[in-house]
Amino acid sequence: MLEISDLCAGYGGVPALRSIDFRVGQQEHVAILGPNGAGKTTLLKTISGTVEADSGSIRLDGQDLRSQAPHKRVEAGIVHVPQGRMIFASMTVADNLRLGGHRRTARDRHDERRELVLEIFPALADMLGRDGGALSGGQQQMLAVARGVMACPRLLMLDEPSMGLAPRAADDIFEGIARLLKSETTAMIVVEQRAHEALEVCDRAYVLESGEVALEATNRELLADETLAATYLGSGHDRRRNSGTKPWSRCAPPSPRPPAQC
Amino acid sequence: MRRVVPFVVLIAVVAVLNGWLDQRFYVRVLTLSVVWALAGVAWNLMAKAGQISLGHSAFVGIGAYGFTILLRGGGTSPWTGMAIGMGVAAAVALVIGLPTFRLRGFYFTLATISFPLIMELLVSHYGDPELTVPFHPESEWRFMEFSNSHTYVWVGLGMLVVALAISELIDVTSFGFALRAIRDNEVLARAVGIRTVAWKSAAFMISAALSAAMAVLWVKAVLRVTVAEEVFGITVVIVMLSVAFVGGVGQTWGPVVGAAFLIPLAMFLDDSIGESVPGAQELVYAAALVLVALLIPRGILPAIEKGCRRLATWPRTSLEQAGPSLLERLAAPAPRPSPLLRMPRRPLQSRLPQPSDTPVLEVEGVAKSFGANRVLSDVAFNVDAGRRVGIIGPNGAGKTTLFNIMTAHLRADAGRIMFKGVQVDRMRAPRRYELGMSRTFQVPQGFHLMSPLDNVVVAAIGASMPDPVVASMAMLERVGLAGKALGELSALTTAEIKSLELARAMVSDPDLLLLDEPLAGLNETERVRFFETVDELVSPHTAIVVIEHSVRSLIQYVESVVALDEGRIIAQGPPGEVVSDPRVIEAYLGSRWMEHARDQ
Amino acid sequence: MVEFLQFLVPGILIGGVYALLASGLGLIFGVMRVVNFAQADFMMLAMYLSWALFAGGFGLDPFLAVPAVFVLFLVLGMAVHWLFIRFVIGKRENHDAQVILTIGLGLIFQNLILIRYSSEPRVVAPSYANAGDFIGDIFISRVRLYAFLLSVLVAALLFLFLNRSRTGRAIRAASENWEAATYMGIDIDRTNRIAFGVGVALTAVGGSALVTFQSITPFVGFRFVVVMFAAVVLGGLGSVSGAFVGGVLIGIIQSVSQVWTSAAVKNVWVFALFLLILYVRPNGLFGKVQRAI
Repeated sequence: MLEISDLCAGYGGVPALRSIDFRVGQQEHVAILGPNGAGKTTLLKTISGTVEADSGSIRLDGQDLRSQAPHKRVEAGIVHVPQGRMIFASMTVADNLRLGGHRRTARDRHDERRELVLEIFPALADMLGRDGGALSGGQQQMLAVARGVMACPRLLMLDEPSMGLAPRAADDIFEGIARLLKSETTAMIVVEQRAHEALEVCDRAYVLESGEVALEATNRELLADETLAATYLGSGHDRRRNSGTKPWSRCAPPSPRPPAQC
Repeated sequence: MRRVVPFVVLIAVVAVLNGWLDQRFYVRVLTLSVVWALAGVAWNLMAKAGQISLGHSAFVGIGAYGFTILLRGGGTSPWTGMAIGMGVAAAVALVIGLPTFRLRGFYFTLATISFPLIMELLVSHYGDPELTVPFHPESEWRFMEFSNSHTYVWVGLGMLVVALAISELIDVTSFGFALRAIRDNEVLARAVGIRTVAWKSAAFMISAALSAAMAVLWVKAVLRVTVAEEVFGITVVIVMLSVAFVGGVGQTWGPVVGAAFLIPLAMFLDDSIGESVPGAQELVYAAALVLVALLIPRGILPAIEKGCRRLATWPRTSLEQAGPSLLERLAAPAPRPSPLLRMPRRPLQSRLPQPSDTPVLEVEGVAKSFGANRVLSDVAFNVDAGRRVGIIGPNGAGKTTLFNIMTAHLRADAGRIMFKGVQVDRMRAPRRYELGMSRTFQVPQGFHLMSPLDNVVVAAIGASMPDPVVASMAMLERVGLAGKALGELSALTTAEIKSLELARAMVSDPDLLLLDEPLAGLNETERVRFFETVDELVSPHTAIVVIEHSVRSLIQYVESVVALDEGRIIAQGPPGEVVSDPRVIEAYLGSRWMEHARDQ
Repeated sequence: MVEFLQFLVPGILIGGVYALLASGLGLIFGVMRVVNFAQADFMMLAMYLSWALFAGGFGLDPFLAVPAVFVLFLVLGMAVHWLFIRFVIGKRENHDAQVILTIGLGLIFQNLILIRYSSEPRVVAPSYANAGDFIGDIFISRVRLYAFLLSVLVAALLFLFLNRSRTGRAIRAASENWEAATYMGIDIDRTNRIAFGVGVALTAVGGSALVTFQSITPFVGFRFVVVMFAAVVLGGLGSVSGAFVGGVLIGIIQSVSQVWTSAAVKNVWVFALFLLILYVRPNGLFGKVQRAI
C-alpha cells in the first residue's frame, strides 16, 4: 500500500535519511526501530509531508504522494500521531478528538468513532470536558493516539507513543493499541524505543541507523536476535546488515537551505 | 581603494548637479535627496543589526526642536544646537533601546512606535506645536543662514559623507562584525561572546545622533519652521524606511541609491500631479515598500550584485576582458577576507586561571521543571580538566534541557553550575564564552551572510583575541577548510559545516567544549573522522562534554558516561559499565526487553 | 467619586470598541505571527464605507450596515492575504518583509482614500447622535452605548465561531500548533486566509462602531494604531480573549486619565502603559514571564 524507494531527506543541508527503501502492505503493522537520531521521526515526517524529501519516491497505492500537500495526505488516509504528543493544550479533550476527525471521511462518523476511541482508552471518557493541557503525560499520549484514530486512518503512524512515560503508563498505551488493532483493519507504522512492546503489535520491522535501513526482518527473527541491542548500545556484537552501507553518493548533495530556527 | 571609489562618485555626481542645476525646484529636489539619503544612512545603522526602528522621528524631532529652542532662546548657533541635540538623542536612544534589546522578535519594533507619538503629544500640548526659526542674516556660517541655496547642498553633502564614512568604518571594524553577526544569527552571536545588548545600544545611539543632525539641516535648508506634527511625524519614518529598504537594508550605500531613486521620483510626481492627486508622493513610497517586500526584500544593491555575479559566470570571456564594471564594483559586497580594524575595546579579558585542584565543570543538584512537568531533578556530576564525558539517555530523558542550562539558554530552578571554581549559572552566554566555555549546535548554526573565514573571525573577536583573522585562518587550515575560507557557507558539505563549527568553537582555545549531538547526519566513517578532528584541535587542558544519541559511536570516544532517564542520573562511570547496566538497557529498550533477554 | 465614575463608564464603553479593534489584530498575530501594521487602515476603510452608505444617498444607519461591512471586509481581507500576505509568512527572514509590506499597504489605503475623498473630516451623524440618558449623575451617550453593545455581541459571535464551528476550531488549532494542525489534515494556508479575513472584518466592524462619534479622515488610523497594539500586548500577543480584556483596560485608562490630565494627552498614558508592558511583562499581563539568562 505504501511504497518508498530511494528516499533522501534532511534538515538544513544535513542529511537525515539516505536512500531509504521501505514498504507497508495492506493492513500490515510495521515497526521502525533504531537508536535516537537514526532518522525514524524524519521518515514519518517525510511520509506525512512536514519534511520535504530531497529525492526518491513515496507512493500510496501507486499514487505519487510527494507532490501532495500535507493536508491532502491526511485526506488520503495517512494519519500521523507525532512524537511529543502535540495535543492542543488549550482545548478540551472533546475538541481535540473533534479536530482528530477533521478529515472529510471521518466527519460524518464522529459519534461512532468517538465511541470506538473511548472503548480503546476508557480513561478518556471521564475527561472529555477537561483541557488537554491539564492531563497527565500518559493521558495526553492516549489522547494523541485517540485523536489519530478519530480520522479513520488507512495508515496510522505512531511516533514513539511511549516516550517519556512511566512503565505503567506505557503499558496502558500499548494495551490500547492492541485493543485498537483487534477492532480496526488499519495499516500501521510504529516508531518505538521500547523494542519488545513494538514488536508484539507488529508483523515486521525495519531497523534504522544513521539514516539508513540497517536491518529488515520479521518480528520473530528480531526477537531471537541479539544484534538489536548492539545497534542501540553498541555492546560489541557484530552487526548484520541486509544491504550493507549504501553509498552516500546516491543522495543528492545536501541542499544549501539555512537551518530552521525557532 | 575600492571603498573610496563610491565616495568619489557620490561627490562628483552631487557637485556636477549642484553646479549645473539652477532652477529653484531642482535645487530643492537635490537638497532633499541628500537630506533623506543622510536620514536613511542613519536609520540603516540600526538595521545593520537586523533591528527595524519605527521611532526614528523621535530623534529627528529632538534634533529639530533642540536647535530651534536654543537658537530662539539664546541665539545659540545651530551647529552647537546640533551637537547638543545629537547628545540628547543618543541618550534617549539608550533609554528606549536597552529594555527591549534583550527581547527578540517584534518587541523592539513595537516599542519604538510609541516614542515619537508621546513626544509629539507632549510637545504640542505643553510646548509649541510650531516654532519659527529666527532669521539671523548677520553670519552665514555661524547661523547656517546661507543666501545661496546651493551651499545647503554642499553642507548636506559634507554631512552625508561623514555619515557614510562612519557607516563604512563600522563595517570594517569588529563593531560591524558584531552587528552582522547579530543580524544573521543572534543566538550564535551570543554563544561566541558577542555582547549583543552593548553593540545594539551603541549602534542605536549613533543612529539616533545622526538623525538629530539630519533634522537641523532639514529644518534650516527646507522647512524653515519646526512643526511638531512634521518632525515627529510618521512620514519621516516612512521615508527613512523606503530609501533604506529600496536601496538595501543594512547596506551602507543602500539609502544613497534608494534616495537618489525615490526622492526625485516622488517630488517630480508631486510637482506634476500633486495638485489633483494629493497623495501621490506617499503612494510612491508605499508602492516601493510593497514591491520591495514582495520582490527584492534585500533591496536594489544586493539584487544588482546578484545579477552581476550571474552575468559574470555566463558570458565568461567577454566579461573577463572587460573587467568588473563600475556598477559591479559599487554593488559588490566587502572583499573577503574583510580587512579588520580593531576597535579599541576594554583591555583583553584575562581569562580565569584554571585552579589545579578543582574540576573544570561542577554540576550540583540541578533541577528544572516546565510547568508541572519535571524535566530534571538533582543532576550532579563533575568534569576534570582534559577529560571527555558523554551524556546519554533515551528521548525525553532531559539531555537537551541539561545542555541548555549549561549553555545559558535556560535557567535552572535549583542547583549550581561551577566553571573553574566560579559560579556561572547566572551569567549570560557571552560572558560564559569569554571565560572559556565553547559550544556547538545540534543543527549546525552559521552566519550565512558571511564567508567561512568570517564565521570563525566573529568567534575570535568575541574572545578578544589579539589577531582574529590570523588566528581564524590558522584554525581553518587545521580543519582542512583553508581552501574554502573565502567561499560561500552554503557550498560546504555536512562534514565541512561540522568542521567549521569545531573551528569556530576551538579558535578561543576553550577550557570546556560542549558538543550537542555532533554526530547527527554523519555516516560511520565521518563519525570516526569527526572525533579525530576534535582530538587534533583540543589542548590537553580542554575538557569535553558530549551529548549524543548514538551511544555506540560515543562510547568509543569518551572516558566516562552519565546516563539520564526521566530527568535523573541512573548511572555514571566508565562507558563499558554504564552501557551494560541493566537500568540503562531498560531505559533504552524497555522493561519487557530485559525480561525477554533474561529468559533467553 | 462621581467624577471618577463619569470617566470610568465612558471608558468602559469605548474600551469595548477598542477590544473589538484589537481582537482582529490579535487573531491575525496569533494565527500567523504577522504584526499587521495596516490593521488600523482597514478600520479607516470601514469607516469610509459606513460613511458612504450613510451619507451617500442610502441613508443606511451605521449600526445596521455592520453585516454588510463584515462580509465585505472578510472578502477584502482574504483577498489581501491571497495577493500579498501569504508570500511573506513563515520564515524568519520574512520578518522585515512583513513589516514593510503591511506598512506599505496601509499607506496605499490612506492615500487612495485621500485622493478620492480629500483630507476633509467626514462625520456620520444619525438622528440619535447626541442623545443619551442619565443614570444618576452619569451621562451615557446613546451611540457609545450602542457601539459597546455591538462589540459585546460581536465578541460573543466570535467566541462561538472559534469554539463551535469546524473552521473556528481549525483556526485555534493552527494558532496553537501549526504542525499538529497539519497532522489533523487542516489546510494551513486556508486557515490563515480565513483568519486574516475574519481579523480584518472584526477591526472593520469596530470601525463602523466608531463612526458615530469619531470624525473620519484618511489618517484616522494613526490615532488607533498604538491603542490597538497596546491592547494586544497588554492581553498577551496572540491571545484573542486577552486582546478583548486589553482593549477594555486601555479604554478605561485613556478615559480615567482625564481626571488628572488634559484630554489632549490622554493617549500619552496609553502609550506609556504600552511601553511599560513591553518592558516589564512582554508576554502580557496574564502571560508567563519567561526570561533566558
